[in-house]
Amino acid sequence: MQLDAANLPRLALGASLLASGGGGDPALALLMALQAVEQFGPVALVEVGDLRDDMLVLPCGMLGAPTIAEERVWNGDEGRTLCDAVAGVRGRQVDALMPFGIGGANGLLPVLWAARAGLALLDADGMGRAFPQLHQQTMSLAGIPPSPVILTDGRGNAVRLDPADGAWAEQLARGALAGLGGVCAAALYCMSGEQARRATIAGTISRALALGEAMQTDDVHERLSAVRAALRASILIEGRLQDIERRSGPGFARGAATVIGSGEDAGRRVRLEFQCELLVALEDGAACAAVPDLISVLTADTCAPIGVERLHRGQQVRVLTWRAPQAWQSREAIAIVGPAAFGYEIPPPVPTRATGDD
Amino acid sequence: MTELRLGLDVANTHAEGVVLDEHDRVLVRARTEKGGDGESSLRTVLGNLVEDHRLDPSRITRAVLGSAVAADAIERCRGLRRVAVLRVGAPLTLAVPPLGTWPLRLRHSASAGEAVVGGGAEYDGRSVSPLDGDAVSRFLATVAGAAEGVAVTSVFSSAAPDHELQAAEIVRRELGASMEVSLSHEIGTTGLLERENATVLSAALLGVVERLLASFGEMLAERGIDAELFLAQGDGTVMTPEHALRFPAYLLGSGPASAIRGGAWLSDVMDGVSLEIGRTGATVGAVVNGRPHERATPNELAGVRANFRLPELLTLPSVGGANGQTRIATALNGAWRAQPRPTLFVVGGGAAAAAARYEGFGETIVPRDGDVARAIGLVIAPAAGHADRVCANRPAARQTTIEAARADAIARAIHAGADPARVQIVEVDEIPLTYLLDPPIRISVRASGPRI
Repeated sequence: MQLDAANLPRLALGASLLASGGGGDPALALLMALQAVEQFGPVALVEVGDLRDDMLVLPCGMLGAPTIAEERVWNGDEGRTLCDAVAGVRGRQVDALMPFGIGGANGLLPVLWAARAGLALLDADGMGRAFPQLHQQTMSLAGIPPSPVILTDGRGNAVRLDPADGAWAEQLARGALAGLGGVCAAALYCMSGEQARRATIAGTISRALALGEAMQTDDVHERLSAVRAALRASILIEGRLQDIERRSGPGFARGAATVIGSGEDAGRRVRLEFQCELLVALEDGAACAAVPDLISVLTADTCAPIGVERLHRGQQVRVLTWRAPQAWQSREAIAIVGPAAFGYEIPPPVPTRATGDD
Repeated sequence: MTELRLGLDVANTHAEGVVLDEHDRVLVRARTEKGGDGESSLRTVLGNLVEDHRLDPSRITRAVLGSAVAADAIERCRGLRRVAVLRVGAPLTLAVPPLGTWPLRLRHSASAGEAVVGGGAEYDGRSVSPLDGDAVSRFLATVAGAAEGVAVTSVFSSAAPDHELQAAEIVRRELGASMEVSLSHEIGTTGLLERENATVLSAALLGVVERLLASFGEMLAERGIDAELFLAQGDGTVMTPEHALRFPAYLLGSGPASAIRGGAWLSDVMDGVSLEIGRTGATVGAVVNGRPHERATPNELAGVRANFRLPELLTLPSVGGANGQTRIATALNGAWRAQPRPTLFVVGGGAAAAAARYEGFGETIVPRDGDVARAIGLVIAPAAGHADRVCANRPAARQTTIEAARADAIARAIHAGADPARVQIVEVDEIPLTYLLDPPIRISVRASGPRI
């Protein structure tokens, strides 16, 4: 299996759906990945089961604002800088890159970096979706040390951090981010093949490709069914977006949008709370979906996911929700990626509709 | 002194024209089911208008043209100037070379060469590396003689335009003061590749717009019309010839937005849904606060992604046959709308084919003269200006940036032809950036005003 010009557009579509409204528009990352495979050849995709124990796997991706990255376009060799820095610490070369989060632009950037560095890409990630913080990765649950954390800005600057744990990795990296211009390439949780087999979410790139294929279904009605089937997603509501609030302050940007139901959902209202991703859906004051489960707002006519920065009053949408990967269901996991970790004090969600087929 | 105003729109499938009197009443109107090559259909429509005995051409003081000539030049790669494409930002941005995503034929027709040199700024305007002036000179030496224009795009030039201005100085020194230089910060949006593409397209289309203005002026003079000229933009606003010559890429795709504006005006609707039915297909759009509702994501025309400001449209290539009405109804349901049961207005040459009512709407209006809604939209359109900045979310920085963005938007609207006494800020949007703590905000400002 390899990633090339034929399947990268599907990967981008799937990654945008798995971003849960965040992760940044993968359009630019897709362009860069396409340029890279054209120039340097396709990227080999390695399955987790095929890793040798002593292989070195480097999870990587973007830290910071995708909007800034769309202006401050990447150099392309950030991956090489990350690998060289890690190799200097570990005393051996990296064998494969891995996206630390499959959602949005982060699902595509490691393809660009792997193509240009001549490395393979592991068919796995550390989130199964997009999360805003560096330690919100399954490797942190599995006890993999984050060090060394490497950040690079594409201008030749590299920062190495040796944090005590994942939470410190996040905190120290945030401090360095401002000096690097608000967006940078990051690598952490460098691990052996043996560790990667038990600490990652396996198969997420294949999953994104399959989702992308479902999203390419020609007929729009069949497209929705195909996407729902591939995700085992339920529809929270169909309706129109109204009352988008956004506020900026300490912490991440916060906002909320209300969907006013139409058609069969006339009379219902669902409130969506978002920060960098869509995090909580509430109906009549009770949560009907919440992080780590995924929530996606799709355009009603084309089933295209809409990122939180592009939610606008008046759009006709469908809101889908589906379960997060198994790795995020434990009590320990909920502590770092559950609603409370994002500042929402809500009881566990109650499903409003049966999951599955119509 | 009474004032008559002329609007003319040429699309691929038809051309239409209208003259409004001083009370905004339709004085004369004309339509031909022949489009394509702009000039001949434009002559036909103009001829039909002035031959009407009710019209005294010498009383026309203003003429607005919506033309597909620029779009056609890009589609066919015809009449384009060859542009030296200079990007300032290395070592950043190298992962996508300039014009790296353009269709090859268009790239060959429009480019005299491309280079990426050192320089650029960060989002807060901070400059971290100087402009590599020597590299600019070396690149210009390779395109001298071939380049008919230069397009310069620098990273975060909307926050810090100095490297673009310095590069323009070097161009004038190396290639002569008469060389046309297009600078991306004048377009002023965030998103490097989209802004760069719009800047290059603008530089490449300059000759096309010069010829369009000359032939339009000549055509009017032949008919005894001595009027102030305006050209339509993709968002349905209009601009002076000076503005059009600075931003030719904004001419692209003006027809649908003009129809939405004209239809809303004819139907006296500020917020509603628009259905334009043509000879074969149909287009669904929306109007909000009297303006066409715009797409939030970058648009693509002729294979080039750029920050064209275009309405959000659902286009149905064909509405004939058994399922025609079903397809229209489905598109109408998916259309953007501000209210639960908006007013629907139907315009275009095929408006008679519309059903009496569609599910989910309040009133359905099929206004008189809806088949010349595009031409009417051109006559009544305002001139507008935009600005887009990113700044830290601090009271002082926010205040300064909003004021600067407002001033930029107003200056651009006035340059486009808005009356300085009546131009207003009609929208200020603030969106905090995701994935940063204490995030900076992206500020978008829109100014609009009637023409003088």
